[in-house]
Amino acid sequence: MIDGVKLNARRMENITLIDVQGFLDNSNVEGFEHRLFDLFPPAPANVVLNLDRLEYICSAGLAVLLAAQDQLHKNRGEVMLLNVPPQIEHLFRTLGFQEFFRLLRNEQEALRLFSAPGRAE
Amino acid sequence: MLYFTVSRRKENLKDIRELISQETRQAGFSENTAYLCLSAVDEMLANIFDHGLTETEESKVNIAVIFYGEEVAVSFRYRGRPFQPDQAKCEKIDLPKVIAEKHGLGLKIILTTMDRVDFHYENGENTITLYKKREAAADPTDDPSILNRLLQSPPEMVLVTPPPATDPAAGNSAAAERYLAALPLETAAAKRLLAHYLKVQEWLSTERPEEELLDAILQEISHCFGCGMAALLIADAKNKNFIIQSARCIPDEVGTRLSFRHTVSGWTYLHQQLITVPAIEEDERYLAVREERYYRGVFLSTPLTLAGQSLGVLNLCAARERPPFSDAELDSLTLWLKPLLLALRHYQNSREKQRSILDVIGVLIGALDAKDAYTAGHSERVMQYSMLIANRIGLCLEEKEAIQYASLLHDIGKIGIKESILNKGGTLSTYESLLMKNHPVIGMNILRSVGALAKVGDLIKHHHEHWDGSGYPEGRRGEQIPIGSRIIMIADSFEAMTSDRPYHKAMDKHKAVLEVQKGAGRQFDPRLVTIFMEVLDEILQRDLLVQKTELKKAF
Repeated sequence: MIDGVKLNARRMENITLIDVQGFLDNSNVEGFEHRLFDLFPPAPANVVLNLDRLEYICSAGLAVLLAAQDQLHKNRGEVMLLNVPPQIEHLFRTLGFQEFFRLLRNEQEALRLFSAPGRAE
Repeated sequence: MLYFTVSRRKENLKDIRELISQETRQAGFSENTAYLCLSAVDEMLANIFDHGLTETEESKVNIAVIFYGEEVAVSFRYRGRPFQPDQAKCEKIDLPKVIAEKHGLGLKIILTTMDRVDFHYENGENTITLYKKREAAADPTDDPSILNRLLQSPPEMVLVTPPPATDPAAGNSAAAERYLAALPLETAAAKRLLAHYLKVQEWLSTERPEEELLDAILQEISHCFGCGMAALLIADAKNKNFIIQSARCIPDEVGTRLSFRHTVSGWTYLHQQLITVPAIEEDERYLAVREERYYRGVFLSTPLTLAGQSLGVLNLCAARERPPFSDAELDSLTLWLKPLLLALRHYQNSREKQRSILDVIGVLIGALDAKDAYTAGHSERVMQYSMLIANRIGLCLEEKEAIQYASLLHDIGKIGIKESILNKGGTLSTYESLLMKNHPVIGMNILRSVGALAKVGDLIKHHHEHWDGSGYPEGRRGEQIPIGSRIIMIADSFEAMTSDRPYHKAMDKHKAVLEVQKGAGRQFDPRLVTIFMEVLDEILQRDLLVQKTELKKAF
């Protein structure tokens, strides 16, 4: 159990969906990093992080997301972000982070993307 | 303005974010901009925790949140390593490095999201200030709370200590004395007069109480005119009488009142005419006088008038050991009276000022009492206890005055705290207690706008600092805390322990005394605790007597 943040993974067709709930700051980001990577399925994998109930993410938290993207990319997978709260999305855009992640509006969009020709495994 | 100190604990980050979020949104910032602010603040603080603070026991950061109209400024002040980021380097994200070290993004966030960031390093102290403007005008229907208005008062990040007061009069008077000593002997009279002016000037520049100053001037004038008896009467035109302010040879009369009617002084005052007689007891006018029958011999009574305003009367009397007043003496009298008149005006002004300050204080306390019923009467008791301690130690008049006002007003900042928090029965949430802990700073801000009470503000700001540094808002320790604040700390704690509050019942007096003793060296200045024990009997007696009384000087 990590203080302040809760992770919950579920399987949806050929993707792993992880709900991230709470906040991510300097006090708990290390624990989050370990837990997140533990939840990753064996490669190659596509992971959707549902940030619907993420209140705050610090720079080290963003770095963990980048590291996750980097790792999955190496194995022909991808991390996508679902339901990014508007203010966090605003920060993403301010930083130019949208180039690193695809931001999804709903679960169907995620399913459609992963089952699209050329993407399916 | 919000002002608080955080110690280096990562758990504190969440509270600070919550606070920034609440405050910026309350000030009309959009959700998005509020989030950018809390994000930048969080990154800055985490960076300071990780890289700025050195491993000392004073690993603390002072944070000030100030709203200037549409802009918020968040300042971080700490002692430790300076932060001088190479802004150019932060412009592009070094992706592999960020991924490998989970580090380097924070500064990028701060510099990208904030409008401006100032880094300042001096003598081991760092001040970093983040600035951000809100993008849209605030909704005018927003109810601007008192707190909000207070927050918009001008910032005070670094307390500027005024340069030590130089006394121009002192320098001048040495030169003037040399000049006087060089004067030819025939100007002896002028010399005495000038010497008197210099003395008065010197008195005025010292912090002697005005009463003493008037006594000293009267003494000097009567001495120079060779009169053993003298009286200074201040007129109370409304009540048609005088109060004897100062006197020589008739000390019992000081403080008593004299009617305008049937007195020599009254005649002088009402006619605005100088009287001088070689033997007053032989003058037929004197026969009608019922009071003031103590004058004998050479007598002079003169009205005291400054700029067309009659202030009172001065009487000089010598029981025939001197010749009647000469014309030359009468000519010089006006010059002799000048310093007295100025001192008198000064005295009356400061009395008036004091009275109006006490009136203002009374109104402020009334406003607080109305809001927070539990503290009603608290301010006055804290003042009584504080003054019992303050009067025991060698403090100058000005300091005692500041302590009296500060002890009365120490909780005035609670005007800016929500009633729901003030009167809450249970424990406060972290955010609520952060707001509550801001009352000393709000108090200081309220008083800063009252010129005469500006010094009082500083004492109020620090009345929750603990001797061991564990208090707030700055975490000052020991003698870094103003002595007045240290006194109020003891008085306030004792009073709070011995009275009913929403969160506790009154404690037994003796148990409270033990608590104060236990706090010596931790919460309280140990030497002041000793003084507190010395005046304890008086405090316990006072406690029974203190009820609503008119506010008056207590030193």
